[in-house]
Amino acid sequence: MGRMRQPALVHRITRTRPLWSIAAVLVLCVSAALPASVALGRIDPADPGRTATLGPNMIGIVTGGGTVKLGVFPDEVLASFGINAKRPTGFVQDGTGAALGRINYNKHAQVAGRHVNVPVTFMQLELSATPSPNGTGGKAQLIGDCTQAGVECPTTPPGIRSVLVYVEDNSDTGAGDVFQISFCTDGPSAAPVLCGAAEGGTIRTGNIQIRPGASGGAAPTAARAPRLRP
Amino acid sequence: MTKRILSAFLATVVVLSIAVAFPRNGDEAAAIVGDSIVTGAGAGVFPAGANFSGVQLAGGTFALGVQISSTGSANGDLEAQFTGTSLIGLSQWITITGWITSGTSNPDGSVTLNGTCTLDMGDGTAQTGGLPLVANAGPAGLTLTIGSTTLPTLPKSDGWVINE
Repeated sequence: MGRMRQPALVHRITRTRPLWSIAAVLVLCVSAALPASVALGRIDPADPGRTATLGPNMIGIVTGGGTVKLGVFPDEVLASFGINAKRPTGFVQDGTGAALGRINYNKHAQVAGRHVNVPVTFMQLELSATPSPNGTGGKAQLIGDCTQAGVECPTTPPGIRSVLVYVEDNSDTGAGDVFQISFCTDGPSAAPVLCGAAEGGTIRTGNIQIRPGASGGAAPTAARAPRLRP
Repeated sequence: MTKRILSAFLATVVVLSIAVAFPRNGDEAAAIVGDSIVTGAGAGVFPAGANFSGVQLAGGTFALGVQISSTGSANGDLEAQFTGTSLIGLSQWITITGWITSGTSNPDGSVTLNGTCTLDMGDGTAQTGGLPLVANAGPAGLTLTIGSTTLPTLPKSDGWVINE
């Protein structure tokens, strides 16, 4: 009886072998295709994946230039800021928040720590869920590295090792945009914690733009909202 | 016969899987990278006689953050504020806010940025938007051309214009 069953089983296996082979190849191909695009951290710029919180994995570009007013009369000081940040080539969404760029911050007064000129090494980003007509909007934290050669950072209080800049892009006109800067004694990371009080606030002039991916919006053609003057 | 069909099918599947596994157009990683980053913030003092629309210019501040791609397109912002004295002797602050859409790096280390801007003369009149803007920023300072009018160059005496 057992001898009679074995040829029938072999016959059945032989008959379905091509189908099983095809299925196995398909499984292999799918398993190879998915990790290649996901595990390498490649991002489709057309799908920025807007989030509701600051995150180290979000793809975006931050640019800005303008002024903020520090202090109050009669001790108020004007400061200009220029900022740039983007993700580096081959950026991997591994939670470290690597970034490239620069922070320039210049107080227009003879006061201590008036110059900040540091490269951006980390960034956290949040893209607005309701972007402006130009497709921009959001919040970002840029972290500059004070430990590199040739940088300019305040020397008081001693031990400053990183710069934390927080910006908000709330409009195409720059109205309501926010720039704040603080100085930290812990080394540069995506989320420094040992930071002093922030200075700055709603920008006085200029504009901050936070864009998804590498795409920019169209240039506005209408007059911008009235701005504060000194 | 069956083996040939099966071989052809398997070859097709392998080719398709490779096409899916690798980047579709090869520019996904490059799309988040621009060729240069231009950052600046600073101030300067105009030489005697600098004038714009009847305002004797004294000094100014500037700030910019622009990312220029290899194609010449750019994203970024430029802000400049020039102080001066009006014809009737009143202090006047002229504010230019630019939206940069293209740019080029020049051999002398400067950059030429193009876009549109808003001009606020600071004299109580309504600001004007949508004006063509050309800015040349570099180690020597900042020169703005608004429409067909070139403003006096603001020499940079403090701060930075860094093209990297």
